[in-house]
Amino acid sequence: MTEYDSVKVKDQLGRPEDKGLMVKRFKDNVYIVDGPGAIYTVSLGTAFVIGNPTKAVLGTNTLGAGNSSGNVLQRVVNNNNLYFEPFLVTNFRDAITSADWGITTVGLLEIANAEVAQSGSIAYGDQTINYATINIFFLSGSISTLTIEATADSTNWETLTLTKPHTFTNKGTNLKFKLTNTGTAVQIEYITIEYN
Amino acid sequence: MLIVGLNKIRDLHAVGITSAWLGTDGTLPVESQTGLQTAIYGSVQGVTITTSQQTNLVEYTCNSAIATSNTFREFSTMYSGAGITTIEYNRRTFTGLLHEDNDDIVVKQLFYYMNL
Repeated sequence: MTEYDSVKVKDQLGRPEDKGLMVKRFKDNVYIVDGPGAIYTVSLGTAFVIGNPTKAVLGTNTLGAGNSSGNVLQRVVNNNNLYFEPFLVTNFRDAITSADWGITTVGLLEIANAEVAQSGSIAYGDQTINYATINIFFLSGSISTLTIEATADSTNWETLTLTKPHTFTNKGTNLKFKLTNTGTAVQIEYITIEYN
Repeated sequence: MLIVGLNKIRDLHAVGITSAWLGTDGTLPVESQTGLQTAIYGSVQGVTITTSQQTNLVEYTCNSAIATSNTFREFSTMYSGAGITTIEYNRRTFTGLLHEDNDDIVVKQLFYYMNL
């Protein structure tokens, strides 16, 4: 911090000269975030797979075709049970979302009046989820117009309060969140959800 | 830090992620570990990396013809190859998933490069 800024801030706050004061003016800490990991299985059905002793049987398996499945989600796991959503990609956006999930501005969730932002499964198949705590970092707007909901079982939505741990009535293994705006548009830089 | 600078760090990391593998130990990761705790060597495979702004999406497939009959509980992305020292970047654990010869296992791991 420059001397000018330091004096100015101290004047404003009335803090004595010898008290430490740190003002973070820029986002100048660089992080590599070990983000969510999703694990899928692909069931091969009757597909022909070279090298597979039971899937490379002429007359049984179908060469060049077969009925293999698409990706079937088995697990979504996060470091330290902490999900971090910076709105850089849409991998964890549910199709029901009407808000602008990093499309117009990469790295920004913009929710206009009456719009919804809903995630897909952000923790899945790995453990029973008993509680969740959500934190939202706003660029503009505030929590006053937002309703925060989450579900631990993918079915029963429960209302959360910002930064307060919420114990789910309906526990489960499929965690999702939903934000609904009923007022002035809000812009959100990132969201964290801690769960266990 | 500018976005272009973050994207350069992203690219340098992407070049350094060459493969991934799975293991069977489900104990929670500890920062001081150097990699998987019970790695299954037959599961090492190359990765596909999709790059977008400040993001690398690493995709890895353990197909139905390799490392079957293992119940996997951990995975790792890494830098490996002939004549180089293997480095594992992360270790992620999960409840057991049996790998049968009727299934491919596909892992998708996101990395973000952020100013916070």
